[in-house]
Amino acid sequence: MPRGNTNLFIEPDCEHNAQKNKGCASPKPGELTKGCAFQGSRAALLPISDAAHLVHGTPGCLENSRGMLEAGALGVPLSRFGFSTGLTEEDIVLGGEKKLIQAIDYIAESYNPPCLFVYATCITMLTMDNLDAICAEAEQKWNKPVIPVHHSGFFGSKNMGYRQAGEALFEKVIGTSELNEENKGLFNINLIGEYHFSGEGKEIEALLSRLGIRVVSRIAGQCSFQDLRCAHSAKVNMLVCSRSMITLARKMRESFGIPYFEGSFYGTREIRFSLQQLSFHFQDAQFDKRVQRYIRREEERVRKDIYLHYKSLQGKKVVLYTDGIESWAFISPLLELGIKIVGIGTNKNALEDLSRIMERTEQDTILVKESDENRILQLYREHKADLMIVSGRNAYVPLKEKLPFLDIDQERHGAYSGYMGLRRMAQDLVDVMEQPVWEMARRRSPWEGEPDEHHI
Amino acid sequence: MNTISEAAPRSLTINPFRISQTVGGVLALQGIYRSIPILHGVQGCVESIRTVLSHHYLEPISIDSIPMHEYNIIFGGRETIFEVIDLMVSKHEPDVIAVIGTSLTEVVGEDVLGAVHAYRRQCSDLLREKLLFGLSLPDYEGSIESGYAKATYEVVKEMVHLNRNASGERRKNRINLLPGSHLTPGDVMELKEIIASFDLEVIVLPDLSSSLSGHLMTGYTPLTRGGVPFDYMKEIVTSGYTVAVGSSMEAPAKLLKEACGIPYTIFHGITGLQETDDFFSLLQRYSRNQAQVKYRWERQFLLDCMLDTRSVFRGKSVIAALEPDHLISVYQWLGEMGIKSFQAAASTPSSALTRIKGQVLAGGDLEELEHRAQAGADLWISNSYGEQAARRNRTPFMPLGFPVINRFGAASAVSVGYRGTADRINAVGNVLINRESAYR
Repeated sequence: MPRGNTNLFIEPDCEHNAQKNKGCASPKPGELTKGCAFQGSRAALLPISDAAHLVHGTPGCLENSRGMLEAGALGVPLSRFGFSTGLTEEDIVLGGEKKLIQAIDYIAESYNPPCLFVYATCITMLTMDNLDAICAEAEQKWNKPVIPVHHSGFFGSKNMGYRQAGEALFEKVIGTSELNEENKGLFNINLIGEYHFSGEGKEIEALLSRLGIRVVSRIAGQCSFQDLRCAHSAKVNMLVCSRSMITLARKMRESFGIPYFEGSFYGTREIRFSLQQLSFHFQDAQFDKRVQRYIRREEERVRKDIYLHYKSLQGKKVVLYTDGIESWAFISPLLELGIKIVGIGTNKNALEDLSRIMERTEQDTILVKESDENRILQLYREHKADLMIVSGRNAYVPLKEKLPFLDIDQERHGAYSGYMGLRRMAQDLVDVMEQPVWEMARRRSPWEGEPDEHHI
Repeated sequence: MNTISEAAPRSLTINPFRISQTVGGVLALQGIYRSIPILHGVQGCVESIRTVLSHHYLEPISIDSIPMHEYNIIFGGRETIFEVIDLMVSKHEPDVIAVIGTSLTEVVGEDVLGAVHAYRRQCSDLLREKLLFGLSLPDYEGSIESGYAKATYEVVKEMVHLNRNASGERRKNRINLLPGSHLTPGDVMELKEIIASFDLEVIVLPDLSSSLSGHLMTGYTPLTRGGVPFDYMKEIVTSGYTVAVGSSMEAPAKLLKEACGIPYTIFHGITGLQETDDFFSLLQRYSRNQAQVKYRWERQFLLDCMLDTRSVFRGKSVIAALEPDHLISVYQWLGEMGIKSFQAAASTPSSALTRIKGQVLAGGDLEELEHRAQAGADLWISNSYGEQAARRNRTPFMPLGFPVINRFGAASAVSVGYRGTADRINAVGNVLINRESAYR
């Protein structure tokens, strides 16, 4: 139920816009689900660490999802505080507007954040509390932005929530303040990503700063409110591994003339592409030379390292069973390490994820669309794979079968992006394959017959 | 001093530690073999419940959803409810299905219970040898404890109903164990072992010990992989005695007494010397067997452990935020160890909280506890949501309750019986002594 003129189901810059049914298909009973719009916008905005995030709904919305959203922020950021109006049955009958006003007042008075985000939920959408009016009034009263974020669980998937968060940022935050003179450097960019990127952000930023590129703001990454307000003073926007905020990028291009491109920092091929794109947008011959030199030097070093230290990965066979961007982002670095990807379980991915997988894989990689656990296991066994790479709850598929696996969500030791990240990924893969636990797990127990001879 | 105050009505909650009822309902179902809870809510509710349970237990969680869309909300979702149950029954043949209504269901006025009844009437032959029931667990009341207890009560009610025509034969050497939501799978396993050591059979409802304790049963299924089987669960009405752990589990125990004449005893946690002694006395009396040598040794070890650790507990002030039953259990054994003051918040009001002498805030949030911690405290006990606040105030932190995330073994830790109590005392004692040695 898009409000006003903005229909988020239509995105001119999306390559699949021509398809008949707008938006993603609604989940059917018995299908795996992937979070709701409310969680999406919270995941996108929580990394704004000095803002207060107030959930307007029944207690469960905040309580149950608190643990799953971990903003990777430093110090004691206010975004780590959970604020909720915690509506009771009575509030729902009588309307929760009064409570919301009091809650905003309390937060503004006791915590004095630079800004407040107020999240609508299923319940408050049904009770039709007028968030816009209340927030506008509070904004006047406290002289600070109080930003309503409209969405509710039945509005759509997590992805929809990201878009909605982008809308809120574009309308209320971006372009409301200017960078001070000294920071108006030549090479200013914004990074726009998803929650994965809050962990990877530091690695990426370190890489960019070596080239003299300054990141003004990280949208959906750890960021201060003030940084976001100045986002419009960047020269170029980079969508990191994710298109969920493409609408925001397009609108920033239209309003502020900031071009955008999509790229990632996983594997040397993708890093090269991303840096060259940046260099192209800056149109500076000297800078370009510096970038090319940097890329050449780093790639040479990485290649040498792969040859020297990670030779054992050559020719190993893996099965990928991951969700969303993880299903394609790691393909190039894996191929670069000499690993053969025998199959990919594209867990009901969006069309664009599929086309990205196609772009990157070799001909004989098997894509299992609409994959279920049994088919993935069959694929693994038939092709005698050495390792499964999984993410999120897919981890239990190889775990319960005692197959070697790397859970890319949980057990990566540091970021995998950038040149260092590639080495880290290689090291993690070597370590996983060499872990004795896989053999131990398959050992027969004393009551399953005589132990193997070489164990005696 | 005994003060129980209900949290003053405030317009907002800051840093809640409560977990909503629906999570409790889903958790209880995990303790029944080949069962599946179906949630009537939007996809985000299912996702967050699955994630929070999975992060704590480090196990896959069986749960499905009736996906709500705008049109379900406007036109009612009865058709969809039927569709989902049909699909589940035909595709996976679960033994037990619970359709759980959320606060969203209540607000749109969807009659989940009515729909489930209608389905049961229409498709009674499809449901032969299966159990299908509805539950309403809105998240604006109760907590994980009450949701878990309500689901258990509902199952017991169905069992009593199934048994209404059976003969009244009773199995004296079998007892029922109704473990509260604050017991870990490890705890339940320990209690089962203790009971079995007295030559007694035991039916556990719900039995998390064989379901979320981590076994490598191969083969994928969306249903629960362990827990009490439906056939065995039915026998619950013919047992000789019921032991319930946690006062929230009194309702199902009482129902068994009223409907089937099975006497019962309530324990709060079976942690601490006093309660464990009471538990063993009960088993000795009931079974007319003596406690095994192993447990006599364990009691000695516990006494020794209490003497070893007594100095780090002496005179300490403790802040705790837990579910009501868990809070009482922790209060009891900390009291045995001689702490000085106990300030606590319970996630939800409960009449049993009057047992605690000290300040108890029922239905509070962590912000209020943090104010008290600022005045000085030696130990902070709560679920992982309290870790930030404890760290901010440099209070030693002991994660207990649900959820405990980013730590291993929380789900299998044992704190019941003599051995479990000693383990728990050592664990908490280590947190305290670490802090003390930092001063030296």
